[in-house]
Amino acid sequence: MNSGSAVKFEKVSKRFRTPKGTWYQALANLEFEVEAGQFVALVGPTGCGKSTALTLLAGLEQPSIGKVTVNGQEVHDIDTSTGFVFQHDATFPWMNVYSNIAAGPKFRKVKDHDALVKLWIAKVGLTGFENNYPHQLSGGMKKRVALAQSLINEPSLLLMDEPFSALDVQTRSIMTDELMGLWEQTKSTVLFVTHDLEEAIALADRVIVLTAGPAQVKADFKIDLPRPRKARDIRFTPEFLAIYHKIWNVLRDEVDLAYQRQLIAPSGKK
Amino acid sequence: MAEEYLSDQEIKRRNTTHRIKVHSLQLGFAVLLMGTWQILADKKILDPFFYGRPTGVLHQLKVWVQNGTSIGSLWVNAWVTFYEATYGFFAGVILGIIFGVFLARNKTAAEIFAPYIKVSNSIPRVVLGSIFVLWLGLGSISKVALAFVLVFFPVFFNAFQGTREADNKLISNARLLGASKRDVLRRVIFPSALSWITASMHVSFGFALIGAIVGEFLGAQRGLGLLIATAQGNFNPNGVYAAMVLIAIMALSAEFLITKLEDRLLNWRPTQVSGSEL
Repeated sequence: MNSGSAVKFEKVSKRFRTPKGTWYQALANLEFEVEAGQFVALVGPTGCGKSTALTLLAGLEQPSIGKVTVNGQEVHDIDTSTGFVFQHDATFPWMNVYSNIAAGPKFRKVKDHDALVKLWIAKVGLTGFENNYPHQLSGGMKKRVALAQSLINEPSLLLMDEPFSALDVQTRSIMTDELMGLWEQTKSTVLFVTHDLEEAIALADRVIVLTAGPAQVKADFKIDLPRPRKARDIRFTPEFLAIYHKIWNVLRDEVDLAYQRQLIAPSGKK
Repeated sequence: MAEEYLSDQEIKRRNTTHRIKVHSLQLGFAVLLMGTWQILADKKILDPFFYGRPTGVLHQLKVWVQNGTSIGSLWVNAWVTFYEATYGFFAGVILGIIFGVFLARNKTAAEIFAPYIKVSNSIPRVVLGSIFVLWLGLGSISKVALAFVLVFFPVFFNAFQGTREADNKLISNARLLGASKRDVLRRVIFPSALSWITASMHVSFGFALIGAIVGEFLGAQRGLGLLIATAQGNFNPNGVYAAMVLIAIMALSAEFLITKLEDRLLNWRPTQVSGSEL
C-alpha cells in the first residue's frame, strides 16, 4: 500500500528532553507523502522541526509516536540507501578531497572505485584539488565535496538540511544551479529543508509549508515552472514571483508566530 | 609612503636578519646567566662547594665520559634510564589510549569505573614508587612501572575526552555513508581523538623520565637517578647538574621526535603554533 510513495509520514510526533528536564515537542501528528523522484522543499519558520523530520527519515532518531516509511520500509535504523547533506560541514577534516569522496564506496567495499571517485571529483569541479584537506578549501568547495560524498553512493533518497545556508549569497546561487544539474542526472527523491523560500521554489517540484513548531503541514504547493531551470535567472520571471507571493502569504503568519514566541521566551526553546 | 612593493630578496634579507638577531640574543642570555654564575662562584659569593659552577659541570661531564662514573660507564647508566622511561612511556600511551577510547565509547563501563579511576588518579603516584620497589625489586621493572603509572593517566584522560568530543555529526555522516562500527572507530573517532592524544604525549615523556629517575632515587643499581643520588651523597653539586644536563638532552630529543610524529599524524590540520615554537 506504500508503493509509489518514496517517503511517508504517518501521524508522526517527536519530543526531546531539554537540558532543563522538560519536554520539547518538535513534531506533532506530521503527515505527508512524497512520490519517488520528486524534489520536495520543506519550508517553515526557524525551529519548527524541519530538521527533525529529516533525522527521522535518515534513521538518526526514532519517532516518539507514529511511523516513518522510506520506499515502503519502516525506518528503524540508519539506512545507507539514504544520503544526507548536513547544514554544517560534515566532511572528514583528516581526509583529503579524494578520500572524503571515496569514503562511501570504501565503507561499502565497492571494488575498483577509483574511476568512480575521479568521475565524481570531476562532476563537482574539484579536479586538481584531490590532495587538499577541507580546511584548505572555500565554503563552496567544501559543499561540493559533501555533495559528491553523498551522491557517489547513488542514494535513492537524498536529504538536505539547509545545505547552503552557511554560504554567501553568490556562492549559494551557483551551488543551487550545480545541485540542480547533478540532480537532473540522478533523479533521486530529494527532501530539501530550507527557510529560504526563493531557493525552495527555484529548486523544487513541490513546496511544503510547515507550521511554527511543533511542525504540521500548513500548505502544499506544486511548482510547475519548466525544467531545466536556471535558478539564478528564474527568480526574476513573473511566474516565479506569482508563486512566491502565494506561498509567502501562507508562510508569513507562521514566521510571525514563531517570532512572537521567541519574544515571549527569550531563552529560546522550552 | 612606499612607492613600490618590497622585493622578495629584501623580505628574505629582513627575515634572516631577524632570525640572526633572535638567535644571538638567545645565546647572549645563556652566556650572561652562566657567566654570572661562574663569576659569583669564583668570587666565593656563591659557595662552589654547595652551588657548583659551570666549568665544574663541564669538567664533571668530561671525567664521566672519559673515565666512567663511580657506578659504571656513563652511557650504560644513561641508557638504563632512557629505556626505563621509554618502556613506561609506550606502555602508558598504548594502554591509556585503549582504556580511554573504550570507556568513552561504553557508557555503562564508564559509569562503573568512574569512581575507581578518580580514586586511583588522586593517589600521589610518586609514592607508588616505594611500593613498586618493594614488589618488583631494585631492577628496571619497578622504574618502568612507575613511569607507566605516571604516563597512563594523562594519556587516558585525554584519549577519553578526545573520544567524547568526536563530532556526532561526523559519526552520523560516516554511518550513513555505510561505515561499520569498526570503520567509525578507525576512521572517525580515532583521528578526531588523535590531536588530544598527541597533546598529552608531549607532557607524558617528561613524566616517564620523572618516573624512571624517582624510581632510581628510591633504590636502584644503575641509572642517572642513582648517579644524582650518589653525587648528592658526596656533596658533589656539579655531578647533580651534569646528570641534569643529560636528562634535559634526553627530554628535548624525545620532544623533538614526538613533535615530528605529531606533524606526520596530524598533517591535515591547519598550521598552527605548536608548543615547541613557543
